[in-house]
Amino acid sequence: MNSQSTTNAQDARAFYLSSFDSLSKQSFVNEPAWLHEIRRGAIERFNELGFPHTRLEEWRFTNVRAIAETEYELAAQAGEYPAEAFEAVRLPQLDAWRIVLVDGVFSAELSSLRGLPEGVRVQSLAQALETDGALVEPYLARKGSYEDNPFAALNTAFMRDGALISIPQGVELNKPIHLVYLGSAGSRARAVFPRTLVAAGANSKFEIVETFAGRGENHLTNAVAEISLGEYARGQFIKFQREAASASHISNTTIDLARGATFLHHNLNFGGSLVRNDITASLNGEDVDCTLNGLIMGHRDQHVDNHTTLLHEKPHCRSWEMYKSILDDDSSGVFKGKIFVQKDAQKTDAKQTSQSLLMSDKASINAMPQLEIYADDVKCTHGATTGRLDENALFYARARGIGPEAARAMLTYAFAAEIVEAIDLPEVRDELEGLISERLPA
Amino acid sequence: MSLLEIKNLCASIEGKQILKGVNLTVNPGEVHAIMGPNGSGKSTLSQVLAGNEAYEVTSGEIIFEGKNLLEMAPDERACEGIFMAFQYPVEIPGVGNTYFLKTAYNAVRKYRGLEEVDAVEFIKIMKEKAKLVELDDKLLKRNVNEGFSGGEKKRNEIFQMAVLDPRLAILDETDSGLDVDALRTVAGGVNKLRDEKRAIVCITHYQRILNYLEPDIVHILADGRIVRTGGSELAHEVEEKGYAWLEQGAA
Repeated sequence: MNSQSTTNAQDARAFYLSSFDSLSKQSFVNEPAWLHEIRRGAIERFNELGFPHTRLEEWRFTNVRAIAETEYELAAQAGEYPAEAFEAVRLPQLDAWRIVLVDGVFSAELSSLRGLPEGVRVQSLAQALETDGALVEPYLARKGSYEDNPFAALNTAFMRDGALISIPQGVELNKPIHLVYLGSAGSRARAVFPRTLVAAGANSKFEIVETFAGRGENHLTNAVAEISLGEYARGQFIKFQREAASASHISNTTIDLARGATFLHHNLNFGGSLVRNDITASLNGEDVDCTLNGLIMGHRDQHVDNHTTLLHEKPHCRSWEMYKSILDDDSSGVFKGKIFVQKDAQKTDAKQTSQSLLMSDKASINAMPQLEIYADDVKCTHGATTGRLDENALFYARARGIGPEAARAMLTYAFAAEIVEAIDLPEVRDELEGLISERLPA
Repeated sequence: MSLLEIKNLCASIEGKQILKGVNLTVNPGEVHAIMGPNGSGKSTLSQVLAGNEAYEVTSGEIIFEGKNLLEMAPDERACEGIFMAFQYPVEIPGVGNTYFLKTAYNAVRKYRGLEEVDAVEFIKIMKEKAKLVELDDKLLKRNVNEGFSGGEKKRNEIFQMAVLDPRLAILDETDSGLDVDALRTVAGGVNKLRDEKRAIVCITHYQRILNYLEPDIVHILADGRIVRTGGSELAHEVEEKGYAWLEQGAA
C-alpha cells in the first residue's frame, strides 16, 4: 500500500511537480531543447489548472478525485504480459502491421512492422524523437492541445513513448495498422502516458486500430492522440478500450482535417472503472466529411464519460455523430456533444444522435448536446433518447419461441448494431460483435 | 383429445375486466372463426393465448394438448406449438428477418429435442416456405418488419407461421388493413398450411377473410363471452345485419 497512499489535491499536484523535477535531471536530460520546452510548458500549465473537480462545467458528472489522490508509480518499465492474453487482444485474424507497447514502452519483440511501403513510418515515438526529432516536432503538442485539460498537460509533461505513424502524400495503405497499448498486471498502481501521433499526407489513405488492453488493477492510462489528415486524405480510426475492471482511462484525442478529408472515428468502450474520453475534431478546410461514433458497454459500477467537440470552421463540411450507450447494473454514462459552427462555415450539415439503453434501474446517463451556430445557412440536428428495451419487441420475439434472455440479448445487440455496421473492417466488426455478445444476457 | 380447451376464461387489463367467461374447444384439423364487434375481447383472447403478461387471467383454464397453458411463458407456448399472427407485427430495427426467424426456429427445435439447423440448411427451408406464401425474397434480407407495408407485414406473419409449423395458429385480425389482393394472397398462404393435424383460429371483425378460409365453426364474441356458435352461415348473418342484433339477443 505504500505507493498508493492517498493525499489531498494540493499534495497530488506537488507529487507530479516533484516527479517532473527529478525526471528532468534523469530521463529527460538528454532530450532536445524544444521537447523539454514543451514539457516544461505543460507541467506549468498543469500546475495552474490542477486536477479538475465537479464544480467545473466540463467535469460536472465525472469525479477524478480517486486519480488525483493516488501516487502512481511513474517509472517507464515494461512488465510481463502473458502470451495468451496478448493473443486475445491482438486481433490475430486482422492482417495488419502491429506496433505494441507494454506499460508505455515499445516492444520490438511483439511488434510486426515488416513490409511497410516506402516512406511510411510506424515506429516507437521515443525512437523517432531520438533519431528524427525534426520529423516529430511539427506535429507534437503544437496546437495547444493541453491548454484546457490538465490530463493532456500531464501526458505532455510525462510522455515517454507511444507511436508515430506518418504516411506520405498519396500513399494508400493496403493493410491496417494495429496500435496495441498493453498494461501488465502488477501490485503497484502505475500510471502510463501513451502518446499517439498520426500524420497523414494529402490524398493518403489509412486504417488504424488502437487497442488499450490493461491488466493492471487500479492503474491509470492517460493517453493523448494527435491525428492530422492532409487535403483529401481518408482515414478510419477505431479505438478499443479494454482496460482492467478497476483501472482508470483518460484520453484526449485531437483531429485536424484539411480540405476534402474524410475521417471516421469509432470510440468503443468496454473496460475500466473510471473512463473519460475527450475527442475534438477541427474541420479546417472545405468539403470535409467527419464521423464520430461511439459505444459504451457499461456494467458493474463503471463510469464512462465521452466529451466530443466538432469545430466547423469552413463551408460545405459534413459531420455525423452517433453515440450509443448500453448501461447495466450500477454503471453510469455521460455524453456531451458540442458542435460549433463558425460564421464562415456556411452550408454545414451536422447531425448528432445520442441513444442510451438502460438495462437496470440503477444505471444512469447524462446526455447533453450543445450546439453553437454562428453561420446562418446551415443544417444542424441533434437528438438524444434514453429508454429501455421495447416490451412489445420482447414479447414478439418470445411469442416466436425465443427465450427471455436470448430475446433481451438479441434486442440489445440490435441497439448497438448501427455502430458495428459503420466499421469498415470486417475482422474488427467480428471482434466488436464478440465483445458485445460477451456482455449480453447469457 | 381436443387440441385446445378454454374453460370459463376471465381476463383483465389494467384492472378492466375484458373476458368474462370464455369457453371454447378446438380439435386438430379444425378452422374456427371468432367474430365480434370492437371491444368484445377478440384481441384480448389472442394476447392471453400467446401469453402477453400485460393481461391478467383472473379465473378459468386453458388446456393445450393436455397441458396447463397458463403456467407457461410466451416462449414455452410457442415451443409447444402455439403461434399467434400479430394484428400489429412489431418492427425490430437492427435484427435481420432471417436471423430472427432462424433463432426462433432453432429455439423451437431445441425445445422439442431436435438438432438445431445451420445457416445453409435454414436458408433452404426459408426459401421454400417463402415461395409457399408468396413472400418476396428481398424481405428476408431486411430487418424484422422494418419499413414493411401493411400487406408485407401480414404476409411475413404467415411466412413465420409456415416456417415454425405450429399445431395451433391464432390469426389476430390478419385481414385488417389489407386490400383485396393482399387479402387473397395472405388467405391463400393460410389455406396452404391447413392440414388434419393443425388447427386455425381466425379472429376477425369482418366476414370477408372467411370467404377464403371457409371455417368449420364460427363463434360470435360479445362483451367478453361467446354468445353464438354455428357454421359459416353465422358469418353471413353478421355480414348482412352487423353485430347489434346479436348483442341485443345476448342481453
